[in-house]
Amino acid sequence: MRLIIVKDYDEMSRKAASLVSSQINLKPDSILGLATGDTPKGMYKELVNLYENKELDFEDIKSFNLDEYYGIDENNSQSYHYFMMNNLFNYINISRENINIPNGSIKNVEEECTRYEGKIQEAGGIDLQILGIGANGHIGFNEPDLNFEAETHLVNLDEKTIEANSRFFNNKKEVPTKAISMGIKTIMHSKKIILLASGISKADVIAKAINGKITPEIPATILQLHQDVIVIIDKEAASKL
Amino acid sequence: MNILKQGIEFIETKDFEELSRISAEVMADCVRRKPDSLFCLATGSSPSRAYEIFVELVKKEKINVQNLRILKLDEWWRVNENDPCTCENFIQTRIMHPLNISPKNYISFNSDTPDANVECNRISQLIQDQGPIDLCILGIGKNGHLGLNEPGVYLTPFTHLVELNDKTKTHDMLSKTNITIEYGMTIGMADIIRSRKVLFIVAGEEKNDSFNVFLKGQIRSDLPASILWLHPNVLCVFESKLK
Repeated sequence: MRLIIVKDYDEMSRKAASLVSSQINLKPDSILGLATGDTPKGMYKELVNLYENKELDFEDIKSFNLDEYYGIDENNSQSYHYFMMNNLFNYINISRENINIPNGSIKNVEEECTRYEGKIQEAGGIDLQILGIGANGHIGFNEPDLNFEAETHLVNLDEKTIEANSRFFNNKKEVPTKAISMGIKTIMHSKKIILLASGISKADVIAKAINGKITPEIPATILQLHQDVIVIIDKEAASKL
Repeated sequence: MNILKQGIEFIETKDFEELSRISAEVMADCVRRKPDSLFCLATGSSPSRAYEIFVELVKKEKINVQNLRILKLDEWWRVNENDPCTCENFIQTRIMHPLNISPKNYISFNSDTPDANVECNRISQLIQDQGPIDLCILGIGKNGHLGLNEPGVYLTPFTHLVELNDKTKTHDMLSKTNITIEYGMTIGMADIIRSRKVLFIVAGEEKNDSFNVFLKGQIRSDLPASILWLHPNVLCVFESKLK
């Protein structure tokens, strides 16, 4: 793991965007694995800036998002579809057919998981995967468990995750309790991984993810086995290392 | 029969001889393409016939192994290296001597080192300098272990000292000595996962249970072999009776 500690959230976002933009410039038809949430939001904003300054071209880029809530329409303002469209895709020249996000409103979940997994394989796997980390150590929606789930699957969200997400919904009852997530194997097969974290609330889990023992109870610990992970975190998130 | 499942290529073989022949061909192919390949070699009955055939192939086809590098996957601790039970004895007799491989091309845990942690760090440094492994040859333990990465609550990324699990203490190789072995040294999970290719050899009826748990595709620390599902380039050869 290569560790880059930066001053604050803005610097983390700029640093991450500059690595993503190198990837795109080196391989204009890269397959990107994308994450949602507050953590990568600033990075997406930087990428949009770079695109507007004509420093980046997304024409041949393909993307696969890590996850989506299950039982939520893609037009719902809390869906990850909505997040991606409004934080990145609407502002860059990526082709709509090159955007892949699990379909959270589908009836047959199993079929959707198989389809999504197949599509990633067919594209040749992910070149660069962006990850955030949950306070419970989740990556994507791979929640703490007795084993690491290999492929795209339906997840019962952890109580802590539901709690953390509830701030975005009017009441706790509306918070989705399930999600479709890429599996650990799919993430680990990515050629390169960038893990982002910012703020004091992530300090404990970052210390465990980087220096702790590898266990499915803290899914991010599996990243210690990958040969090319760059961890970009701000001082607060790094404060317990 | 070839089956691709979740990224692992499985080859079902009719018997031990066919399994060994295919494995030997994979080894020969690797060293033909990259003469200075780094092989990480498991010991024990599963790969033994494959190594024999590989040595025959090298001699028959005059494959250049002058620059081939060998890493011993694991070793017992606190036993003389000349003891018939050691992995050292196995690798020396079946690979190093027959192929006349120079000691400078050999990375090996010393079985009777006084300080196992120092020895593990030394091997780790050598893997870091000379790695990654080009071809990692592995078997599965009766208890699901990989190298001497024993079942447990955690997975360990790099070389380390381990206390042997009870099932491992009944290992075939240990029947060759009167000494009681309690510990072993092994390369770790990251070392294995970062290999360019893994040849996973599953042979012998006593492996039936652990292999069937492996085939479920769940990745779990109490079955260390299951970590191979995370590797992008695994070839698994197995005897058809084990499925």
